[in-house]
Amino acid sequence: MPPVTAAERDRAPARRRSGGRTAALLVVLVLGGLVLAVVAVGLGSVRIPPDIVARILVHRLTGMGDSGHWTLSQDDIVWNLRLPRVLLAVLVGAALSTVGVIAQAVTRNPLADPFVLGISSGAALGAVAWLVLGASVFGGAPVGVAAFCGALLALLAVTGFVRLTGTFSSSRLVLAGIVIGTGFAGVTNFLIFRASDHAATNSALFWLLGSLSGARWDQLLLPTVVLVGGVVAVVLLAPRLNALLFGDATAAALGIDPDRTRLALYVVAAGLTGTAVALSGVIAFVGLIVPHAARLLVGSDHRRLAPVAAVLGAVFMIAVDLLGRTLMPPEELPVGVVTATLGAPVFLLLMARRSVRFGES
Amino acid sequence: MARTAAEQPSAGPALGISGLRVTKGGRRILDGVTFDVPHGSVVGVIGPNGAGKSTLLSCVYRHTSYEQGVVRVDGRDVRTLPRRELARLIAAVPQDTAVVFDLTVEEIVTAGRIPHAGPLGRSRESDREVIDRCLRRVDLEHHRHRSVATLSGGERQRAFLARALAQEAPLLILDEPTNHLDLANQEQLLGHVRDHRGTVLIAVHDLNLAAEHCDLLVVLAGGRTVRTGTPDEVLTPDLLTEVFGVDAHVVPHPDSGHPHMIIRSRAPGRARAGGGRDGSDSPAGGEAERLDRPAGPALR
Repeated sequence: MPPVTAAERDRAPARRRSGGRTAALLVVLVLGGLVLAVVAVGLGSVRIPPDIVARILVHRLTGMGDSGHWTLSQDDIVWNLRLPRVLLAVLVGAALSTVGVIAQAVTRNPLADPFVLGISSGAALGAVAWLVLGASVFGGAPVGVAAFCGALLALLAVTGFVRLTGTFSSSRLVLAGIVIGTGFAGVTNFLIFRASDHAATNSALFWLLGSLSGARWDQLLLPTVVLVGGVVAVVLLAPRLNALLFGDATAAALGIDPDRTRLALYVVAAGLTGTAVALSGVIAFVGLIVPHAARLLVGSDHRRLAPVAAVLGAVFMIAVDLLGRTLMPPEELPVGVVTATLGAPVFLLLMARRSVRFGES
Repeated sequence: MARTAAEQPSAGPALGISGLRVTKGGRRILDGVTFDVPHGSVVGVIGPNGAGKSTLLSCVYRHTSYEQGVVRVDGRDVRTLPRRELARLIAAVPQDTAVVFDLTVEEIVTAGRIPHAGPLGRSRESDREVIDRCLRRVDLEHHRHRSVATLSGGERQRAFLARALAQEAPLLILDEPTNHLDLANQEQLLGHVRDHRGTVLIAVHDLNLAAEHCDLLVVLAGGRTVRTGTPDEVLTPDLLTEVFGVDAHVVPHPDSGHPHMIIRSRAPGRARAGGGRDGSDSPAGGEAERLDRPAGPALR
């Protein structure tokens, strides 16, 4: 055996990263998420024991079991109110985390998230315009399409500006994203301020805080398709994301066209953000924290990072929404309030840990 | 390295560049650059800062687009090749690659297999063998699980070299790989480069390193090829004055016989004070004179 340096001995156990370990971790996360989902469906203003929840779910899904064990209202709460909400949490958490992974790789900046590139602000503008001005402005398209268009518009504005005014650099991209995002947020607030319809104003304001309370079965199909498509696309693009981490020159030398790769990733990011924002408003910090937490678990290779971040984001969002619903009953905290309040200290903790690096060498 | 059919040396040069012209922001960076890189040779690109060395290299691995001229790899125009295929013919270590995320040495080298990867980017057994071999070749096999953040400058540069080697391309392009390295690491890195059995095109800042390690040199200045040839032909006192603006002695290296440059002393000495450049040209005399003088504050 070759001699092993002290530094390597210290680091080696934690740093061995393999496909098998990642698969095992994914299984653990998915199982943990399922248990958490059953618990989350049971908790709230009306408590339903987990075994009843499980029986209702099994009965609904497979038709098996005796429906005499629970009441109709329990069935209604589980199936029509809380389960769609948990599924929405899964979709939004996975989508925002995946966008965070994309944003951090594209900007080569560990501080990037859906906000930094202006994507979230663009999606919010699209959705608020839809809410305040009416769907007819968007030709009757659903709010998700408006949010997607807003997100894509913001991304194209940011990247177009960076491209047309000089060469690509991640710091220019981040700066332009922050500035253009703030501008979009200003227009959003202007629209809300000018709105004549008070009901629309209130719903827009509440929705801007970020909430999963509007979950309904009939809203979930298209977002599920977009999410699955987006996560699959990112997993397929993982080697290209890896190449982008080394910079454009190295990416080109590895046979990857950096501009085209970024463009593809922008479309995916806009689709995922538009979907998440249309369904749940603006939820902060998830897209920033979850990718870093996933990096702690499996490292920065996107072939492992992308799926783990998606699943971890889903589990995280179920937990955070559960907190928001149960912290101070009967009041319900919008999930965006919880993530922003919890997110800041959690992020500082991550930053304080030496194992997470933020660009310094 | 096993040579596949695509790498069979053809009759022409491994790399042919002719009439290359690049304009960026209204400024002409390269203007009619023309030279050939023969199979199996190590060709150094030298020139002062801003001569266009990096731009020239990045045209070859197709990071920079050029408006005129042709770059041929084994006779094939690189612009007609798909990027992935090109990355299997040309590997590169661009200058000053920053790694912001916490990648391990092995993850860095694994990226070199991207041009060979299947549709899902899965690592295959053959990839593992190549990665292991490349790690061994740069003496990093015991450091594969270390984070890039803990590497020294020399180790990091060797990891990037291993990544390029893992592309298994017959042509290797290196952009000033010895920058920021101490002498031992410079020698070690260029030793690994010399061990590479393919063709190498390398931009080198240090002319003595270039003279020692390159078979042929291309001198760039102001975006033009000023001279090409062996180090002996190229590195003359006249050229050093004309292109680099320095006044230097060129002496044969005591071991290799390759040209070695020693910048003429500009320290104020009595021998120079009167006659200046065209005064006594004996360096030994000048040296002796200087040693007699007490060192002034300016020399500290």
